[in-house]
Amino acid sequence: MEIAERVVIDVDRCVECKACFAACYYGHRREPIVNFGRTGQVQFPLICRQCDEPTCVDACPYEAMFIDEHGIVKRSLPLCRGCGSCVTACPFGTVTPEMYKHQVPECDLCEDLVLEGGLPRCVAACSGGALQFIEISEAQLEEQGLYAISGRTIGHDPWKRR
Amino acid sequence: MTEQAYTHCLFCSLCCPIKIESDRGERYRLNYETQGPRATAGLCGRGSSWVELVEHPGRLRDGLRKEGQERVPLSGSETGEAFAQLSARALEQGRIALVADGNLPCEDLLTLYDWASAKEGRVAMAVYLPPPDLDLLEGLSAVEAPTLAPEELTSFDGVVVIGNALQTHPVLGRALLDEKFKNPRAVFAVLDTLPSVTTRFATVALDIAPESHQAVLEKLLSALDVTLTVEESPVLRDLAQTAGVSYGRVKRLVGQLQAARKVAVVVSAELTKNSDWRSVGVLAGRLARAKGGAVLPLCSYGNAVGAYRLMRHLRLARFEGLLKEGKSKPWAAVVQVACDLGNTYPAELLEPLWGSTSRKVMFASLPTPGVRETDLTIAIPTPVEYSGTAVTGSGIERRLKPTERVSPWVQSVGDFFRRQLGRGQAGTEKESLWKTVPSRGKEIPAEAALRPAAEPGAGRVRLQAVTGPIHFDDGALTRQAGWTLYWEAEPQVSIGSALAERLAVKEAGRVVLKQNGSCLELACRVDPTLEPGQATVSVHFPEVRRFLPWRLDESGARLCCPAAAVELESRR
Repeated sequence: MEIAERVVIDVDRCVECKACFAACYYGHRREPIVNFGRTGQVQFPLICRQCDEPTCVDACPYEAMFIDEHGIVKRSLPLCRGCGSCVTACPFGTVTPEMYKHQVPECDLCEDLVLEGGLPRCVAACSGGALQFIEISEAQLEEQGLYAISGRTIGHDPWKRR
Repeated sequence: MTEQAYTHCLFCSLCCPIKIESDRGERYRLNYETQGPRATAGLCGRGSSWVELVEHPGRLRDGLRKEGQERVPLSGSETGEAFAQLSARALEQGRIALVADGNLPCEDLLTLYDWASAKEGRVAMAVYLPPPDLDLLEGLSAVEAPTLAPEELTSFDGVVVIGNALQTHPVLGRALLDEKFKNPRAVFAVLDTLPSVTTRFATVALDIAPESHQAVLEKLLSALDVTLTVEESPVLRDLAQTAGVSYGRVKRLVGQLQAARKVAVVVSAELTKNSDWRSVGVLAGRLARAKGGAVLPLCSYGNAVGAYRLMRHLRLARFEGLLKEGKSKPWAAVVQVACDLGNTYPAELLEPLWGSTSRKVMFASLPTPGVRETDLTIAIPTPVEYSGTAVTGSGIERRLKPTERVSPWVQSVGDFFRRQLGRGQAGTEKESLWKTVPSRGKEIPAEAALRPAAEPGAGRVRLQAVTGPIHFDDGALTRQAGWTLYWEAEPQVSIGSALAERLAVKEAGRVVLKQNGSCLELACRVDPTLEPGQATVSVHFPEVRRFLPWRLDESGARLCCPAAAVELESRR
C-alpha cells in the first residue's frame, strides 16, 4: 500500500515549542531525528520530505538508505555506517548531522503508526497545529485558505511572512 | 502483560491527559490520551519527557538513612519506623517544618495535613507552590475574577495575553491560533516585557518594562471608555507613555478592544517580569469583567488550583512563612515531600529552613542534589504515577486507577502517612475542600498596585529569566530529560547586537554576569530583537535560579524575584 500523504508545515502556525522533536525522540529509541532551521529569529522544524526522487538514497554508498514497498524513504540500521553522505546530499537539510551511536538518524514517517491509520508522532504532538499529514493538493489547500509555498511548506499568505 | 493507566501531566496547569502503558512495571510508553474535550494537541516536550523520569536509571527505589559517612538502604517498613523515630526525637526537642509539594494529589495533601494536625501544633505545614502561581491565584481570588478553561476560548471574540504564553504553555497554541486564523480581525493583544514568540502572532503587541504591568493595565482599563476621535486623547497619550509605545499603537489596541464584545485574558505569571503578580491578577480580573469575559490563569504547577484551594480552606502557610519562623528558632527537623527547594533557591535564602536544621528528611523519586544532604530519604513515585486528584483550571480531575499504579515497588506519600497515622485506606478525604472555591481573598490596595519599574543604572543591564517550552521550571529536573541536551545543554544569556558589539563578544562567546558579589559565567547568544539594556537567560537551570535576586517582602512572608540589574563582561 503506497502512503500518499506527507508531513507539511504551516509556517504561520509554528510556535517553536519543539514538541515535534520530543515526540519523535521518545518514539524512536531516543534518536535525535528532527532537524531545525533558522531564518532570522524564527526557528522551525525541517521534517524529512520523503522525496519522490530522494538524493539521499542515491548518495548512500552502502545502500543503507532505501525506499520501501510503501514509498517511504528509510534507513537500514545494520547497513548504515554513519558516513554522512546523506546529510550532505539532502538539499533541504532535513537529515540531522548529529550521529546517534555512530549512525545517522532518519525519519521513517512513523510507518508503524501510519499503516494503522494513525498520524506521525511529530504531527500528533504539534502544539500549534503547524504540522499536518496530508496529500498536497492545491484545491484542498485553497478550501482552507492556505497556499503551497514550496513542496512541503504551506501558509496563509505567501507574500506576507510574520 | 501490558498494563494501561490514565493520568495527567503536571508540568503546567493545562494538565494534558496521558495514557501510560507498561510491561509489568518496566519499559514504559507514554501517549497523549486522545479522548476527551481537551484532546486537541499532543503532549509538549516537557510532557513527553515524563517517560525519562519514570525510567531514570538513578530512580530511588529504597529508603536511605545516613549512618556516619555511609548511606544505608532501608526497606519500605524500615523507612516507616525510621521516620517515626526521627520525628518523635525531633518533637521532643522542638518543632518540625513540613513542606509539601503542591503537585501532590489533593488526597495526599489532606493526609499530610491530618498527620501534622495530630502533632498538636508542633508540626508546621506549608504547601509549596511557585510564588508567581500563588500570587496570581490570590489576586484573581481577591476580585472573584471569572475564570475559563482552555477549551472555552472558542466562545470569545478577542484575547489579551499577558506574558509569553505560547512558550510557557505551548499546548495552548492550537486553541489560540485556531481562533486567530478563524477571525483574523479579532483582537489578539500581547503585553510582554520582551519580544517573544507570542508577540509575533499579535494584532497589537505592547513591549512594556518589567514591573509596569500594573500601571499599564490600570490605564488600559481607564482607556476602554474613551471615544476614539482624530484628536489626540490625553488618556491614550498617558497610556502610551506608561507603556513606552507609540500613540498610534495604543489607539489601535483600544479600538480593537472596544470592538470586541467578549474578551479572554490569558495570564502567564513569569519570574522577573513582575514581582507582584497578585496585583496583576486583580487587574486582569477587572479587565476581563469590563469586557464581559474571563481570565485563563496559566500556572507552572499542574495542581496549582487544587493546592491553592486547600491552602486557603485549611489556612496552610506559604513555605516562606517557615523561613521567617526558622530565623527566630531553628527547626528540630525539616521534611520536604516531593520537592527539593535547594534546586530552586539559593542556599543562603534557605538557611533558616534547610541549612540550620539538624535533621533533614526528603521524600523523593529522583536523586536530586538535596537528597545527598538528608539524614533520611524515602522513595516515592514520580507525580505522573500517582493515584489521586489534581484540580486544573478546567476543574477536570483525572485519576490514575489505584490498582494500575505503574511502579508498585514504592509507596505513595498518602499510603506512607496513613500508616504513620495507624489507619488504612479510608481517611478524612474532605473532598469538598478542593472542589469548592474558597471565599474571597483580601483586596489589594490600589496604591500598592502601581509601582514604577526601576532603572538598571549606568553600565548595567536588566536581566530577565525566561521560561521556555523544553525545560522544567523549578530547575530540579532539567538535566534529567536527555532530549533537552540537544537544545540547551548549558544555560545561555541572550543579549542584543549593540550590547554584543560593546562587549566585543560574538555568538557562542562567553560572558560573566555579576551582581552583588556573585558571578555566573555563561555562553552567549546574540538576539537582534533585544534592546541595549536587556538580557535574558533561561530560568530552568538550578545555577541560574540560585543567581536570581530572590527577596522576601517587608512582611517576610512572601518571596518575589524582580529583574536583576547586572553587569556584563566578556570572558576571554
